[in-house]
Amino acid sequence: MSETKRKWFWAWDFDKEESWINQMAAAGKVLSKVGFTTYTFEECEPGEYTIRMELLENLKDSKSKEEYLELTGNSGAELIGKVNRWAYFRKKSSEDDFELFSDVSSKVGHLNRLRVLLALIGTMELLIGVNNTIRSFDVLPMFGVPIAILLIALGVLILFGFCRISYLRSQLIKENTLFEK
Amino acid sequence: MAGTNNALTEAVYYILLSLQQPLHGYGIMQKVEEMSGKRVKLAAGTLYGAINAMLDKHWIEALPEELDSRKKEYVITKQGKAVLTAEIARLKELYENGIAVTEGR
Repeated sequence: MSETKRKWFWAWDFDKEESWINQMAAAGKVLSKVGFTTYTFEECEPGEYTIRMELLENLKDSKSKEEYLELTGNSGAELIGKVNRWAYFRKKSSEDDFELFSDVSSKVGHLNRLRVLLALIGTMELLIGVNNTIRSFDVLPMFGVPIAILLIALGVLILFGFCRISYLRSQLIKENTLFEK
Repeated sequence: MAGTNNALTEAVYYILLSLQQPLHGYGIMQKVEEMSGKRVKLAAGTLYGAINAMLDKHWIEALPEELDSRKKEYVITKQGKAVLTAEIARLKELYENGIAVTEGR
C-alpha cells in the first residue's frame, strides 16, 4: 500500500525536508518515489530506513554521475529518485548512521554548492525584476510592474535562503574550530 | 604545492595511503576502513568529492579503463606521494613532541 503526499519545501530548507521524510520512516512509511512536490511512501518497519538528500555536483559527464551513483549503491544506499539536481537516497538502518558526508569539510562543500546556486538564481531574479520595473514604466505599466515586483520579491526570498544556508555553514565551521576535519 | 603547511583531512590522508595500489571507489572505502581498524568510514559523498579534488591537483590519477571493467581505478601520483611524505613528517613532529612533553623525556 502506498500513499502519496504533496508538500512544498524551499531548497534552503532541505534539512527540514530531510527530517520530515525521516520522521515518516520512523513512523513506518518510507519514501519510495519522489517528484516535484510529491512524495510517495510505502510501508516499512518503523525505523527500518534512513533517508539522505544531496544536491548533486554539476558533473561534466554522465559517466561521472553514474560512477557516483554506483559508489553510493556499493555502500548500501539506494537511489529513490531525483528532482532536478536533488537526489534522495535511502539505506537500511544499521549500527552505522547513514551519511553521505562523513567529515565537516565535505559537509561544508555540500552547503557551498547550494549557496552558489541560490546566489546565482536570487541575483538573476532581482536583476530581471529591476530591469522589468524600469522598462515597464514606458510600456504597459499596469501589467509589467506587478510582475516585476513579484520577481523582486522572489529574488529577495531566495537571497534570504542564501543567508540561511550561509548561517548553517558558519555554525558547522564554528562548532568544529577545535578539530581538523 | 607539495610542501604546504596545511594539514590534510583524515579522509584525504587515508585515501592517499590506500592508493599505493590501484583501487576503485568502493575499494578505497573498504581499504580505509580496514587500515583504520573500522574507525574511519568514508561516506560516498565525502570520498567522491575528495577524489575529484585530488584529481584536479594531480595527487592521484585515473588509470586507463579496461574494456571489460566499468569501474574506474585510481592510483597515487609522484606529486601525491610527495604530499603524503610531507604530511607524515608533520605528523611525526606532532607525535614526537607530544610524547616528549607528556612523558617528560
